[in-house]
Amino acid sequence: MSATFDVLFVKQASRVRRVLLLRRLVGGLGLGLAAGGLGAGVAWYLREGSLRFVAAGAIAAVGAAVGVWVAQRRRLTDGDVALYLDQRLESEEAITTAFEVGRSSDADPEVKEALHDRATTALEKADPKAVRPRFFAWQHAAIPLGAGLVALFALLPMPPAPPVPPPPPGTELVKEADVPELERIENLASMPARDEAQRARLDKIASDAKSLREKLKNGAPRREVQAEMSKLDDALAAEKLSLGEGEERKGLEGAMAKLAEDPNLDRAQKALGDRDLVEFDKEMQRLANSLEKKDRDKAKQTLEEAAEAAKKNGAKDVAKMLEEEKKLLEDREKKAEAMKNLADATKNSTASEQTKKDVQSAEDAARSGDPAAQKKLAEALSKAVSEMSPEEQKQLGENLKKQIEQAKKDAEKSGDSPPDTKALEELAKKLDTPEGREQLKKELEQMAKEQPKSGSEADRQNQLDQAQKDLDAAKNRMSGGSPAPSGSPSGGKPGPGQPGPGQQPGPGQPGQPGLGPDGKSPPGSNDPGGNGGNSDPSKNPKGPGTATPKVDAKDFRSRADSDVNGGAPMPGVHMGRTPARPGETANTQGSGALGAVGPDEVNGVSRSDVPEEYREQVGRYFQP
Amino acid sequence: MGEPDTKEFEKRLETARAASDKLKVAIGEVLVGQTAVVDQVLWGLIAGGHVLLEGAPGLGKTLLVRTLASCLDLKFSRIQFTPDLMPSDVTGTNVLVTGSDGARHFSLHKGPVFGQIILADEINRATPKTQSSLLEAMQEHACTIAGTRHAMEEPFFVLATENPIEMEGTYPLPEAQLDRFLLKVIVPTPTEDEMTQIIARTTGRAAGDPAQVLTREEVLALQEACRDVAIAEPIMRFAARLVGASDPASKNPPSLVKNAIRFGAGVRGAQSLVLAAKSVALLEGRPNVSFADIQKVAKPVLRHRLIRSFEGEADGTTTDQVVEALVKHVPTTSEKVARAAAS
Repeated sequence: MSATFDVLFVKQASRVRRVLLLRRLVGGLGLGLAAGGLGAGVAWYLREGSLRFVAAGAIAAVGAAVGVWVAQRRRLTDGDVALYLDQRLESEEAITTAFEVGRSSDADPEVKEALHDRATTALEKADPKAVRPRFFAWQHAAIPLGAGLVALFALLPMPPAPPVPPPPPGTELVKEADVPELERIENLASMPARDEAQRARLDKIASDAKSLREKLKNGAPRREVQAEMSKLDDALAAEKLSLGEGEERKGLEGAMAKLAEDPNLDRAQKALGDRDLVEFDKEMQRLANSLEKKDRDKAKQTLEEAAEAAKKNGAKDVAKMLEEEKKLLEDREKKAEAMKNLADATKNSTASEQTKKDVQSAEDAARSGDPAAQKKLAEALSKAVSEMSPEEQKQLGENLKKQIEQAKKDAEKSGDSPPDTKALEELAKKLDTPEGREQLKKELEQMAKEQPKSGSEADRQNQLDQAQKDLDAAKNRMSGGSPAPSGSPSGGKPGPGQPGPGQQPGPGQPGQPGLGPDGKSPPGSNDPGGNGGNSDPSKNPKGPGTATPKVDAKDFRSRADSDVNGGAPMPGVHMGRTPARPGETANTQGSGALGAVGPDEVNGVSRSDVPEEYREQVGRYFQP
Repeated sequence: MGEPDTKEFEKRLETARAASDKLKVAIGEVLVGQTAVVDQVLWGLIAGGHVLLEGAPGLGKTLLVRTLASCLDLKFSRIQFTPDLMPSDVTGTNVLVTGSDGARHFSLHKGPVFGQIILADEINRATPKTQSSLLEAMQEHACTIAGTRHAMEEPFFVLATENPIEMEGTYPLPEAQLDRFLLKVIVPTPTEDEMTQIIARTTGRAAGDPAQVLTREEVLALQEACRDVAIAEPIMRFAARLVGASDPASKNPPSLVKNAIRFGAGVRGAQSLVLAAKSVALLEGRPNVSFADIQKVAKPVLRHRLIRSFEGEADGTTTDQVVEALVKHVPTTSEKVARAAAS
């Protein structure tokens, strides 16, 4: 009987387990297919056409596998099957007890037999339908659902591709094989330096420009390029302000105080304060051409005293510059005097009336001291001398000699020191011989064409200005043509202003004034001072002083980092776009970019125009 | 030595069922109704345990015990517990007697506890000291008198009664002693029909004593057969889970246990559950215990082993309600078997 029980039990147990395994397998397949349908939906959404079926199939297979795994994990043990059978057959745990007792060797054979009898009877009488677990489960309903989803996503047309989002601003690559502006900045390495320190700084700027150019050759993100350029710009701006900085500051202020004593040197003093040495040099030229002799003498003396004061206060570079400017002033003075005498002699000569008229008007214009007018006078004189016959030229020489005599007599009468007539005498001597006349003609032509000689500091600053202009042009090009704020402290101030692309013929950039070769705004500009406007005369047919034509505002884009105040910055103020670094304050130089580009930011109040007695108070205001 | 007679156990089962039927019929001739009470008393007798009967006066508790004693060929003693009852009144004592030779010596005068079916009537009226003298005999099946241990004659079956109404001047049994009773049987009030029948039987001429149905040996054989009834491990585990869940400090007790019970049943409770279930199976002629047997005996086995908390008493929660909740709460089989069986 025991053997019968075992056979019956094993048979029923395997049947029960088989159905349960199959049920879970199909259930897992159903859930997997439903998930596969969703996977197909995801693939459809991602426009992965072929992946729809793969995803659905794979997930369904995984579902089936999970179903089998779950079935294995929940596989009924023999004891569980016995309990299951007891519950299904309502056999009052006879099968379970028989199974348990059957495994025990200690059990009473009588009891064992009795139990097996009852259990066997229960199993024999069992209706197979009553014993078999239900096959269908709710998970099975997912099969048609999943299949439907797969079919739906297989038949649905693919969704349209979404628009590709634009790359974040500034991350696009900028690649330029040839950047002539940076090449020109590299030339700063060969520019004569004031001292070793400046030499090192200029070399650094040049090497930075070179490495940036190399980077651009290989391509670099736009904002990285712009940051590098801004650093370069800041370095150039700092270099332009390097004269009279640090320990020489006191000397510079001493020199400025001396210059302030002479009202004729007011503008020169301001230019020096702004460290605008080009403007300072121009002012010197103007003085050489326009002032009376005694004023010039006074100006020379003031320059000498200023140089002396600078030297005394430890500003050797400032003193050297001032001495050089004084020497240049003397040379220019001689030349201007000679031109003036030649013009007078020409007016008294037998030259044509038209020539005399041209010379007269040029001489009148040159009285303003403007170096450009001076050049025009040289041009008019050159033309007048060219038109004269050799006899007339001789006559001109005679006139000059008479003028020399007259000047000497006038000096004797007035008790002044005899004038320096050496240049005039040389001029008269040249007019005596054909070769001399030819040479004079050439010299006058050259004067009309060439820029007047300027001081070495002014030359240096000119070159730095030019480098900044080049950098601005490169920046504009890299930033897609939008105007970049100027990093130059001298940018935007009245006068020559910050030259922009308008230097080139054609339309200038809004806000970037055009600049003629003489440093002034070209005709058609609304801003004679060069602070902005349209440099193309054709765009403003009504002429200067009238409104500019309407501009399509749609093309404008606001810039978060644009200059709020377009006016001239305070001396020593740094306008470059440099990100601040933690630890940097108004009076503490950090180790970051601010430290590199903003030497003027640190202790700026002590070097500003703020009167000395108020500096402490103002400085306290800026304390962090 | 020959092959064992494999049908022997089947025969014993058949005999047990027949004896149970005869006994029920014999008792039924005297006692009207109370079939559930009679069944439960028989479970206690077969399982070799003791039974505490609780019910109002006049419900036939004493009559049941007297009838049972008459039906069995066993020595019957009745002890009426009163507050002045002494332990020696229960157990007996040594008395000084003069022998035929004139010499004096002590002789044991056995008390009523030395019977086989003991009726401890209104046990809660005696002092705890006296109660304990009986309870010791119940537990040990032996009694110590003047340093000498005297074994009880088997079968030894105590039926104690309690009156839950008159609580004044009573000494409620301590929980530890209540635990010694295998079952606590609640004797219900008879129905109208039963009451009518009782009136008819008791107000006429007195009937004779019922006939003896089972001999002492037969009772002992039944008790032996009860122990032979098989029980599977999952059913024992179920009994253990049931008892475990009655402890409010257990892992996941029913909310009623948590709220109304201070202490649950112990190991003795689980043992009693299985023994009582075995007797049920035997009396029904089955060689094995089922889950239903455990559930069937749960109330009489556990109701006096659960100690209610203050909240439980205040709410009026009975231990029977708690046992019902336990039976509903504790699953018979594991979840996976239940799930497979339910599908």
